[in-house]
Amino acid sequence: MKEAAQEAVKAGIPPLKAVLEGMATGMDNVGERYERGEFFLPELMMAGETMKAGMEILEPYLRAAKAKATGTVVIGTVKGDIHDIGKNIVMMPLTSAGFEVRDLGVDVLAERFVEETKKTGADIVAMSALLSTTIPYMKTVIDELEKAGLRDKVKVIIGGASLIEEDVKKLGADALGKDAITGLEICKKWMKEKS
Amino acid sequence: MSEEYMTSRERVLTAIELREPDRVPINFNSIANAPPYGYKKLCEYLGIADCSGPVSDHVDHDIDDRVLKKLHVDMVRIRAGTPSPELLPDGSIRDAYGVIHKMGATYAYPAVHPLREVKTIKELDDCLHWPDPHDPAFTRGLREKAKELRDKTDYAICGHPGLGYTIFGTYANLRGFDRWLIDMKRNPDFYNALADKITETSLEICREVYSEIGDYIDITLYYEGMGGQDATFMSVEDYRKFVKPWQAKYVSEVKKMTKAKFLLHGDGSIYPLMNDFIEIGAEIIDPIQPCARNMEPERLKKEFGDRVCFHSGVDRQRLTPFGTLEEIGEELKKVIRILAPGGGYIFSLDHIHPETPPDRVYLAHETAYKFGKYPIE
Repeated sequence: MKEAAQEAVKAGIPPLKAVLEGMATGMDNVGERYERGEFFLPELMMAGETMKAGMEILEPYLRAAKAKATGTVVIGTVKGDIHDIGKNIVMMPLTSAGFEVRDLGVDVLAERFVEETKKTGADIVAMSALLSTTIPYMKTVIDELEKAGLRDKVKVIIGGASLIEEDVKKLGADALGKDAITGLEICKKWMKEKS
Repeated sequence: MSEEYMTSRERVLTAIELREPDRVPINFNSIANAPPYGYKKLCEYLGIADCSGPVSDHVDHDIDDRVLKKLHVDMVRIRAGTPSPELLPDGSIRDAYGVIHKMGATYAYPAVHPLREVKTIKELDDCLHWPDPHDPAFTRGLREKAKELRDKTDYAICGHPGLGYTIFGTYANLRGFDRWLIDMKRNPDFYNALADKITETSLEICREVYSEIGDYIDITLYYEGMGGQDATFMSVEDYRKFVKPWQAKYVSEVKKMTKAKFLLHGDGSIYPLMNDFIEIGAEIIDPIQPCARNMEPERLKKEFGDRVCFHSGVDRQRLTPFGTLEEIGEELKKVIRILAPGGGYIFSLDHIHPETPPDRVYLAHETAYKFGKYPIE
């Protein structure tokens, strides 16, 4: 992948095009095959690592070209939860789709979500949780975004094995990303509506 | 109230041997791997404010006997010790494998993976940190404790071999979860070498532990993460190539160390692997999460119920945290009706998050106790 990325640069392909039409196509393909049950986590992880290798080459060129990110996403697993597989999976297609992804890690306090959203001017706040008992904390995060005057400036997407559609309204979020591809499509749709 | 004519141990073993005991045996996996505040809340609810209990974060053993009696529990756990972790300046701890665990709001999590950047097999010979299976910390006081449990109680005793209780959980801690999965596909020679090394150490720890308690325990515990909500982590083919051979060896070797029954704990959607687990010798499968894909109790009982015992089967994703008490009671009766006939079922709430209201824990156990009498209604 590093060689391919370097060749793309040499060939004069705009770096953003290399990401959005090159790597993203590959990542979408992997994602779809994962959703269909043909690929599993090893394939997904390999794709992520491959994409990271490509991004390492392209990032300086993206910065130099002042390439505009598709949008900025602040993402984290909420306080009380340490699971991050799902979060790490969804970060891959988001990155390859040109989103700038600020990963806050796991066990993240509401204040941290607010701080990073403010700092980056994020478009989307994405929260992940596997443990059902930590789901209510997502409402705390949303309430804190509200208090900070940020709630109407961002879209909030939630994800995690134990979440259901009804949780979206209860928590005050905007959407449920029931899987990585759905999450990506929702985020892309939001950015399109914004532009 | 159930009419009991078996001891707890008889009840549990009968169920594992796929025969109907007097009632469904009950286990309390307790508020595992979390600060003890959930356990303390439960004790207060049960009217045992002066409860004795685990002082470490492994809140799954040394539970106050009064708690066990109030919850009608039939099983206890004895856990191997651990070499003292190294406390680091920022409050995180480094375990014997060199994995650095940070404390989150509720749980500790592996934050630094010591072998993440290792590239060659040769480097595996020079690991800065690696547990010595012969460290007396693993077995100090264990035999006396196990003997006392056996002599003075009639509980079925589960033996937890501490650091020896997993292989690929350790692999993921050492390299990172992603690298575990990538290694198996991209670097199989390295993967095999590290898997061999970890298996050898896990088994050596098991040998030390089970040479002390193997005669006293009824169940051995083994953990391996292999499933997410909707699928196994890897394809069945990759499981058989990159996980099963070491699991099979582990089960086979542990069965030479003790006559105890083998419990395999694997979360999530592990349905495609069930025949393989049974084939390598697992006798109890835990926790069989009903919300995970293809893990409906009806399906599992129909396809595997004549060959393996199930443990738990309770929805802890939506039911126990969010259901009403009535919904919980009704659903648990349903699970018992499906899984208990013919034996082969042990009730448990599986891991209980410390935020779980104690009245739910109590209700669940009462329901299992009253409704679990054979023949099942």
